[in-house]
Amino acid sequence: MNITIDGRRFEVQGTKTVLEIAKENGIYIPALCSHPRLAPYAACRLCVVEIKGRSGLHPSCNTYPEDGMAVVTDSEPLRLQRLKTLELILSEHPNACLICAEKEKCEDHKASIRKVGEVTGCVFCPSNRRCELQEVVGKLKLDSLPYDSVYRGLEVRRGDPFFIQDYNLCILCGRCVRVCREVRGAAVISIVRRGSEAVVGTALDRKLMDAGCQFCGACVDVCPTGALAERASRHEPPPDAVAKTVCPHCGVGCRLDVETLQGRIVASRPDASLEAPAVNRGQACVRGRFTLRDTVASPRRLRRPMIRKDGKLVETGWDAALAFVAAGLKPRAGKAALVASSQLSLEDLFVLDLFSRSALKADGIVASLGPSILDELSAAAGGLKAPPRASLADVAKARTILVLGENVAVSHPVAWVEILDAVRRGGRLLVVGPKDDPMSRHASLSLKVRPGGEPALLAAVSKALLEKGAPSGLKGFDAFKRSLDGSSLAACCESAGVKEEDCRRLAGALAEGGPAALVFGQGLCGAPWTKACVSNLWNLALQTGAALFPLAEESDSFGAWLLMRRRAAGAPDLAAVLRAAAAGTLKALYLAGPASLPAKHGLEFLVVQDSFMNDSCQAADAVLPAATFAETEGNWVNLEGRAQKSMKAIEPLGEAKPDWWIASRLAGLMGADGCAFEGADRIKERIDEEGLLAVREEGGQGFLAACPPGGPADKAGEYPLVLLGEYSPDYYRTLALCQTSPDFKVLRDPGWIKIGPEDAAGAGLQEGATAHVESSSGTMEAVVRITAGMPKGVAAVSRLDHGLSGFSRLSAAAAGSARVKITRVN
Amino acid sequence: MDLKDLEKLRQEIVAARDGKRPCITVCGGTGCHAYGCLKVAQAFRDEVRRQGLQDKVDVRQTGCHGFCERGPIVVLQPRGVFYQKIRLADVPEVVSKTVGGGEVIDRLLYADPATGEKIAREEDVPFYKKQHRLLLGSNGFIDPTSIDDYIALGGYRALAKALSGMSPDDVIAEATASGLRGRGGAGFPTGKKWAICRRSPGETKYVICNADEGDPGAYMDRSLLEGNPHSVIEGMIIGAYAIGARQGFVYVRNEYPLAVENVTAAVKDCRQRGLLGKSILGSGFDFDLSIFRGAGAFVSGEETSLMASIEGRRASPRQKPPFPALAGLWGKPTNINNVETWANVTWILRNGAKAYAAIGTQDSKGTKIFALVGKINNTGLVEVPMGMKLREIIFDIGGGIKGGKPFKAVQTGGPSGGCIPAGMLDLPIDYASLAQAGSMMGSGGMIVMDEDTCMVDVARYFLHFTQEESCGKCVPCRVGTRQMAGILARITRGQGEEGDLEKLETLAKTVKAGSLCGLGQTAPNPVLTTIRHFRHEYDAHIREKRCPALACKELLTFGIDQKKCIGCLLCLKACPVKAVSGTLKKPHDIDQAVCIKCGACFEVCPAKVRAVTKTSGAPAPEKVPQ
Repeated sequence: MNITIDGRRFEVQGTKTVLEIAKENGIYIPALCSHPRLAPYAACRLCVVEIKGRSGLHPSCNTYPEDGMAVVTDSEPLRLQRLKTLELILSEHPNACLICAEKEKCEDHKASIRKVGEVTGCVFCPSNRRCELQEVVGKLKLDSLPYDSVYRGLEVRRGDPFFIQDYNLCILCGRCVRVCREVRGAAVISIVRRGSEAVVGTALDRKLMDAGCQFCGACVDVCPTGALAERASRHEPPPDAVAKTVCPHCGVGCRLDVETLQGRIVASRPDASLEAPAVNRGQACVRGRFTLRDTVASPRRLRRPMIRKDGKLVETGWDAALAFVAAGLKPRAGKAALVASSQLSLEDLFVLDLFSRSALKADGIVASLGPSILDELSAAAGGLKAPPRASLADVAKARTILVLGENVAVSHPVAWVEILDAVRRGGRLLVVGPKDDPMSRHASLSLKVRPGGEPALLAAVSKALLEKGAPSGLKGFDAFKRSLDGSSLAACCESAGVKEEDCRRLAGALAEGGPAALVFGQGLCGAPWTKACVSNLWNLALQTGAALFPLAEESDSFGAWLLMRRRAAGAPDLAAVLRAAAAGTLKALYLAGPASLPAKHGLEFLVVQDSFMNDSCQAADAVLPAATFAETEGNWVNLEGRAQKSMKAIEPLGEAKPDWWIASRLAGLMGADGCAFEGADRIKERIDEEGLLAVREEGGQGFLAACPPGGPADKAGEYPLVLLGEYSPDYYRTLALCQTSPDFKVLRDPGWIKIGPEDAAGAGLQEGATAHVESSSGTMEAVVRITAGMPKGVAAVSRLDHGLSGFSRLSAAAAGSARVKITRVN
Repeated sequence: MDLKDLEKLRQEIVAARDGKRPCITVCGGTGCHAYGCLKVAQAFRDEVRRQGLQDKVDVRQTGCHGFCERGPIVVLQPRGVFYQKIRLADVPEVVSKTVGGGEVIDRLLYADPATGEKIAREEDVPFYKKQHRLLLGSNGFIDPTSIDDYIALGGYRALAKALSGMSPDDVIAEATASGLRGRGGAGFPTGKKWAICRRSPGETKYVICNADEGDPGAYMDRSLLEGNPHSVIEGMIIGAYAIGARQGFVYVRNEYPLAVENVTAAVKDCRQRGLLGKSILGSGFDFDLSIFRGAGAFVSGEETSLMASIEGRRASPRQKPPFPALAGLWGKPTNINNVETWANVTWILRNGAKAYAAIGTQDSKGTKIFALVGKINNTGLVEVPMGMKLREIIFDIGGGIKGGKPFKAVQTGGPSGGCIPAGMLDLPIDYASLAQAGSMMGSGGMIVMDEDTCMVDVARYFLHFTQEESCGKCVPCRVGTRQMAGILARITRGQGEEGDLEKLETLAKTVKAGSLCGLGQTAPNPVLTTIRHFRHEYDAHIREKRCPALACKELLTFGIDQKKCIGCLLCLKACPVKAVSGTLKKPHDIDQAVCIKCGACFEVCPAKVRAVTKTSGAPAPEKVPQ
């Protein structure tokens, strides 16, 4: 259809608003409440336009084009209306600076004045010079105010972590409220009270923390004024540079704008560009939004190389350190291993891989995370060339989404945003897990299985689907079908702890057609039933035509998997490496990631290459300071298999060097070939030459043998509770975020144990009490958090493996099946 | 129950009732409740039993009769003897004399204030004489909790007619032909609205009854729901059939407990009788109703807010279009009409569009119920044909101004409407005329003001109301009403400045043109109309710091006329702040620095003496040196 705006003709689709069309074509219409990610709200009334043939004024943010529509965006009455409306907005917002005749000159000599308790003017405001209200005042050329101005006199709310809420600066555009509900699905905040008393708040006026806020920061990012301001950076002047980086935490790989000031990180915000939308489409989570600054500037940062002399670690220069390490490693080549974090860039991992092969004579890198969901999937399928590549955009378009084994809202919050988008578009969310989950609130079906009951449920769903008819002549189908014959649907459901009718509803939802996605993650890894679960998922995907969407845990898990795939069959995994270290068959270990070394080991030479001081440094012969993600350039391969380039934001702290540089130099000193690189660009070129990222799975993989329920029955015995681990990549390399950000510790303290009210009462435990947790393989102490959604007989702790959570100690090697008992510590 | 059953039931009910049997009807409206009508009704029941008449006489608590000023009202049927201001002590006499003996008790009758003549029958009371009670008429005859009472009077016959012989399009055509326009305030043609909703694509559609009446002083909808809930429900079922809705909601504010109770009971009775639920009256048409109680926000009466509230969200309006007829409740096509509109639908279907269109004016058909309140003699609910002159309503029906004071203005349309001055008393009441006068029909509030009412203060009151009741979403309404209320408050305090009127007019324009919903778009009306018709009062406040109506406290001066004062000490004792000084039989004096202008001295000064003066803009009488 065609419309005209100010006499200019445009051919348009009808899906965009008049405001959006005008904006795209360089026609300025002031607007404060509209936002590209949010539904029209039409509250600020600045974007009003005239439409020929219609009476009155119409908010362009909520006006959709109609064929032949003629819009006028600029006229004397419109100018006056906007100006008068803006005057009204300013009458409830500190305005002295906005209408001050000296405002331009003022900026130059008042850099330090920002540290004030309450903001009474722009020069004191954390959003100065990035404030949208300021921009509109400038554009509309408002320079005086005819009305009494009102300072609301509300208490500045400082009681929550990460950001401060000063609603005296709020213009009630409702963006924060809307993004929290519409995009993040949290609905923690709302507009409360009415008329002049209307203000943004929570139910019962609780703190955000107590109202269930996860501090994703979306509200802060959409706030057009300084009402919501990041605590850490609110007194900082505007940044002098911005670097496009990739968040190093989870597998989503959010694009972040890292803002720097004089070579120091001030803040990080999600990339919200509309021209080239990032994978995260303007969203981030608490990790990427609020912790990067503290992570990079952590007091635990390693700044200079250290080598052990006379039993003590002493600082030294790079030359001496590298020579020392080369001399220590060279004689032990062939009996050495390299463990690396998959939060390093692809370039880093690639060179470390080369280094381990050529200099250490080992079989490539071993990921410090242990078996990832990609490994498990590949193993179950008998080897894959590449993991399935579903894109987040596909997830957002799915009609049916089954989430299994992961609280995506916490582990991959931005993937969760896309799942919610699908739900908003009318898609169905199905959630399966052993305990109640915040995701269930948005689910059309939420099934609670007994711990470890997932494979049985999946087998049951497959059986139920088979009853509806066999799909295709895919390879292995008959064998698959036969493998399910052994047990009845009722038996499968019984074993899963699920009602047969619920299982049928789940099957029905999956069979209903439209694109479907099966989303699963780390929560399924490392358990005795992992293989069964993943195999059954694989079959279910073939049966229903659903896309498999494994949630790669760490920012470069996908890249690490591609590299590790090249290892020989039977090459030692992390557990085997650690066993060999304990047994003394491994002589040297090169540690470039977090790993729990056995207390007693037979290693002769231990190198720690990391950005942070960590427990392993105690035993290290040499400690090499590595640059962080923000201090180096490189690519990270996200869970879609998409390599994303991250730019260098600042110079490395102290003498830290990029990981690839250290490995490359060491290889040179050790006389190994093929590891000499001068820059990350060249490494990437080599990676591309080798076609590492171009690998695609070529189909042909048929059905796998189904794994019906079976195995040993649960023995409660001495240990009555099943212990679950809750996974979330709340760490960067060896640094847990709660160690560097006090605010993060408030949000997610890994030192808790969640149990249901019944079990708590049984053990005589109160909320906040300290409990002694014991399994057959270890013990830990934890703070009790009584959680209504925990079923009887189940407890959960954080899986954070940085010496902070005892999960790995308690579960030994078998996650998901550990049994514990809990007693009160007096 | 099918169509034949309904008619049979009606005949059975009527046959079982003796039309000539005496019935004592006690008004059970909200006004009479406040006068203690429940006790009066109980007393009648007890007395009838005591006198052994329980088999010969019925006692019925009915809906509101409308003449609230004179409650509790008792009407003795079938003769229609009208007793007013009945006390418990009067009950035995009424039962023995009037019911038993047929004698009319003179002292309980209504006396025409003009002639002093006693009037025995309800229909002859001037308050009712000029009314045309299409909707309220049945109120006085039926017990709102009895579906049989409603059916006996021909209830659900309109529904039967619609379901048996008419297609949905016929029903819409009938509504269109009647010329009925929405009674919620905006006056959109009902038939047209239904047709749009019927044409809207979608399987699921809803109808809603907006019973979130919030205008100060207005209680028409309350009275209908309390007094005759079935007439509203019947209209809704007919509308749902026309539109193709299977589910309806009555959104009624929780501050109307009796309305909630009666409509809930009525819905239950309808379900029992097969008038709601599956295949209504055997027609194959399914429809059911839910009662949704609103939490008492004025803005909930705005249709998009109301729907947000039903959806469980904050009652906050959204920008239209899309209009509810296309995307309403949960995004489905929804038709929302006000209580009175639905009740009109029932009448139209029962009596025909032609009969309805014969009432009223060219573009405003039928009757309209007004809540006549303020400085008026006959406070109450009046139902008049469209086109009646304001003067007739206020003077003929309303009985004129209290205390015989001069009429000053009438506010129609509540906070969204405007003030109409004495000069426009001959204005006919219809949508167009009211709009032209700067006011609006609104839902039917009619607040009468006399010379003691300050028009600036009236504007301040209404702006204060809208400021507090604004949802706070859009800027012009939230901040604009606050600024306007602030300026008006300043003027009433005597702190007005030159230029304030221009500021008010600019603000009014901005708020009207810029606001998101009807609340904000009409909020400036009281200011604009009072400026238009009573500019001199504003000028007196701003320039002379004087309130001509002697209503704005801070502009008043209380003094004592030394020549008249007899020194009785009454005012001295009444003064709460000891501002009055003096001794017995010596003229008193008020210390202006201490006086808080409460008016206590003025009130207590004996009428014969009248020594305490209340003035504005003039200095207090001088103290005579003693």
